[in-house]
Amino acid sequence: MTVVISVANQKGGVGKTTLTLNLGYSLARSGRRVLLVDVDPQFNLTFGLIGMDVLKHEERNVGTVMMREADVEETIVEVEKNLHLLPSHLNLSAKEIEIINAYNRERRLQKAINPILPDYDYVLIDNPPSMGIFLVNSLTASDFVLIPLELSYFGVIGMQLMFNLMAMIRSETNESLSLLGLVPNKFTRQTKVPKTRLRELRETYPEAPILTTIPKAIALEKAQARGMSIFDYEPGGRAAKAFEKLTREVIGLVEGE
Amino acid sequence: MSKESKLPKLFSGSVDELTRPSKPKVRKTKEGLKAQKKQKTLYVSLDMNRKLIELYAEEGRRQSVIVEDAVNLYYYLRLALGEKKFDELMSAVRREEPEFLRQYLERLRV
Repeated sequence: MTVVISVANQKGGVGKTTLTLNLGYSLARSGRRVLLVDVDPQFNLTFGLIGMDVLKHEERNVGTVMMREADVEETIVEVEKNLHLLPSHLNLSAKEIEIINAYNRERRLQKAINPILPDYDYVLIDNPPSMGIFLVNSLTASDFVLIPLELSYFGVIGMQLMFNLMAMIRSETNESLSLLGLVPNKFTRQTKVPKTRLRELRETYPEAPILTTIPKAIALEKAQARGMSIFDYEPGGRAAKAFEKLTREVIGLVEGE
Repeated sequence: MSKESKLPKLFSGSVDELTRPSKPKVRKTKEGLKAQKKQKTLYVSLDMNRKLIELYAEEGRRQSVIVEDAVNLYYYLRLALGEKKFDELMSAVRREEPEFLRQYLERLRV
């Protein structure tokens, strides 16, 4: 059975795309069949995976699939073995207005990807940093939510907004939506702030599942700039090891291994 | 929240609860309906008609019994899996490839 995971946080710059991309690569290389879905109109995930080819997807992207103007199977791009992408596009922002006015607007993504779900083990959805129709569609279509967060004051505040949104989605459109975990990102020991915020987070929400911490690493930024995963750019580095550990953790939680 | 913590708590619900799916709503079953019968005309494709004939011919059963079993299978699988996962299962069924469905069912987790 396919597991659909939304990588979401209403705060920007917390590492949603980095987490989606590297977790996707790692799951795919562990033999899982993975589909990455980019519902962010800023299309960073799409650009990171297919570069300027994003321009070829004006007619075929996640927005046109949600509006039933394109076939989902014909829109999916193969990135590498076991790793596919349902791309975003520059015009996705414009599609938002059409989707808001469309019938069954909260379930457009779920209905669109449903026919191809049996072809995958994991679907990871990269979300925009705003509470709009794309995030609602993503959470409605998902089984789990992974929340990357920056251990700063506003980072932890933003995470709490996600808890409230999840509670709303569970009561309105998707009662089976569950929190898979929080992924503290950009962790550094150069200042005391991240450690302090992590302690405060544990005190405030002692039952919150806090997963592997991803370190602040320049290699992640450089890997993205070159359109590579951290496993190809700096295999064996701190960040790559953290993502490998996170992948094992996610597989353990989802598959019970 | 600890008195020393400077973090304002903005979520009043239970995070522990968020880590588990909500409990499915219990539907009430009406008594006495199983014994009563009702005539119902089906408007189905020729392909579905062929499959139905194949089933009652091979299994030596009446069409109505097959339809009742099929609806019960659909109804209770939908309740057991939840609407979203059931739709996913139906996507696999619609491929009409028994080997693909068998492999999908091997990976099925409830």
